[in-house]
Amino acid sequence: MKPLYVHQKGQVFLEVNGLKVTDLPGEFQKYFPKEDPKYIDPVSLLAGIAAGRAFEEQKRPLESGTAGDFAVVVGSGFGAIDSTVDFDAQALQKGPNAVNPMDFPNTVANAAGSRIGIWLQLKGPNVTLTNGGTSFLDAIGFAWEAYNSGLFGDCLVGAVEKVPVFLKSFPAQETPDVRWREGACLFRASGDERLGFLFEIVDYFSLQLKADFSFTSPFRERFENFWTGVEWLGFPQGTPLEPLLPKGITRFSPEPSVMEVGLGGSNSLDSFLAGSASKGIVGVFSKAERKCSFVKIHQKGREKNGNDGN
Amino acid sequence: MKRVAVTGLGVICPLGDGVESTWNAMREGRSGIERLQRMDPSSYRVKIGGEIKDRQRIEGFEKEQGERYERSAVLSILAVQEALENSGLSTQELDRLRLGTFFGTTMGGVQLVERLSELNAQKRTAEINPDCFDKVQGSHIAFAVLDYLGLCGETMVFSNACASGNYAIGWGFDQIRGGKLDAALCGGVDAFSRVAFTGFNRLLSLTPDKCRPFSANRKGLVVSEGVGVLLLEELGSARARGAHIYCEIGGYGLGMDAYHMTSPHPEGSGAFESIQRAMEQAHLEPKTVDFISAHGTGTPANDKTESIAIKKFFGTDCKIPVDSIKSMIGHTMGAASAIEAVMTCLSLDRGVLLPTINWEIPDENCVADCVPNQSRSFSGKIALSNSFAFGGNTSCLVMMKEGKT
Repeated sequence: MKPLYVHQKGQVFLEVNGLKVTDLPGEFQKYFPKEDPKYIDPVSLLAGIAAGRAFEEQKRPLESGTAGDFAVVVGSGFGAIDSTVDFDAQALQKGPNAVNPMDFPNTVANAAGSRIGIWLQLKGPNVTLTNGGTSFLDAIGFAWEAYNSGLFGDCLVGAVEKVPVFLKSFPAQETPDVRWREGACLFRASGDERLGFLFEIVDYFSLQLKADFSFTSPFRERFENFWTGVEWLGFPQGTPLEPLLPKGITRFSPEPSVMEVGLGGSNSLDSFLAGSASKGIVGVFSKAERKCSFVKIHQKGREKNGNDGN
Repeated sequence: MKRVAVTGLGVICPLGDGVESTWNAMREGRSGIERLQRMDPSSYRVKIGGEIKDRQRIEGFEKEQGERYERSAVLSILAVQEALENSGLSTQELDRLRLGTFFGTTMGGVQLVERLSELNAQKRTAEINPDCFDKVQGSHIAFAVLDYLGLCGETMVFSNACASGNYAIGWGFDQIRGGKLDAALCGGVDAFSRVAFTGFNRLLSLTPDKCRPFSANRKGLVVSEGVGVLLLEELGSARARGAHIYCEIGGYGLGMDAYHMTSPHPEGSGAFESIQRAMEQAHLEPKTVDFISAHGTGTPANDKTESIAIKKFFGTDCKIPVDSIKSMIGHTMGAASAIEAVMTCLSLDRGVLLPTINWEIPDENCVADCVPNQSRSFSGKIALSNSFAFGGNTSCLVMMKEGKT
């Protein structure tokens, strides 16, 4: 399997640097001045801002002639549920014939990914995954595997998340000091090493476990081989997988009070990029689906012994 | 590369609970569309829809399981049960395989979302059960299938609107073809959605009476519900255990209009791209295709642009039969492509093309042969199944009788 090179990151988070939902239309227009944000939902605006930022230092695909084979892979836990509830509320309050039809496209989970494709004229596969807490890493893993199976040559990949307001109270019952990581994080990636890169995606493992958190031997062999050569692990403490994780590697654990949902793993990935390890694994465990997802990444040039680790 | 066989099928839709009842009804050209019963359509411009009528298994399951699973997950579990039964694979045997469970959905746990939306509008959020936080997410569908079966495995849930099922089938195909998995339960599902019905109603996309794909007097689509599931296996393993092989998956293609959120590209560019990519992956020439299961929603724009894409790829004098089972069951949203894939498997396996019912008037802008109104016998070996979606996401699946590579 070939590596997928991540060339640039574009991200935006709500409540960081004071950014509020009401600021999104203005921020969006910095990157897409010809688009009218009036009827575009916050999830799509967040994804659009991240997409715009992912191309700040490089030519956009239309200019570089890659748009025809350029894919978009977006993960999200809640997708468009906020907009679905808003749309339904209009119908419940004003009657079904009084809803604004311009709001209906906001109710599909693929609105954000599709709009990125439309705004940037990207005509490769356009894929939206709603994989709960593993959405971000599954999107990255999907992109790596799909690139290797020949589905596309270039992609924007990552996740977007905005948690429905009326659902935010429930995790707060278990974790009173809960903070939400809402926003979008997208990577511009391809198989072309010459474009320069932040890191390489070199492997992916994902599995839903049985009710007793076990898994069967056909998967166990792959899981055990997955850890070869790894120096660093970003994965939460205290999950049922703990006894199976290898010892003796540097460990980063994201704050348990930060609820990432569909952006799960993005915080750990930032930590890996800020550190000095060469080969690392970023993982998440989603309790709701008893599912773990891991992405193996590599930063060339950081090897301590001069070996590139391949 | 491994070859991928379809060895199990499951369906629930407005024409039946089960593959055989649905197949028999479709072969006879029956319609599952009528005035909505389970929601009051009196304040809507359009009052018809496609609701699942045979609800015995659904209600029995929900009585037994309580509220453990959201409705779309329940439909998925029941269709998976059928697919496993007719594949002859037990859960014990599945447990020894590297299994994937890949589903597509437009609306996810939409009936739960709509219930929460009502409580939210009525300021009764205190009544919301905390486990809704997880059950409204699309991921709940694939989780529920493996959870109910007591298995572990890879999961993905694709939310590419009405083409989602094909994305899930394509991903399962890729995983087995590349040797990463031994088997995959792939499908698409959506329970009836008030939000979808309201939205399409306001977009004036709904027909008030009948769905008439490819007919010059077509007026729109019908919102519906359902689930379709296919069990994919590596061909050699399927043969070795003596499984009935409905067909092989030959390839798939994904495309993108990059044009408009709700209107298809006027030249069908994404549709064309997905057909071309699927055919390239399957290493097939256009002349080898014997049949196309259309997206065929019955809207003026879709059927025209889909026909343009087909004619552009296969030639303007293309006489390939192109059917739309949406004429009988309506548009089942995220389930549509999976149900169409199931029926395409059966068309290849049983040598019968299903009809596009309600066809009345030729349209020179549409395909020449839509298998109008009556099923007919068929000896073809290779079929395509098209599925397109909101946002301009397009997909095409290549299916073929075993050995026709």
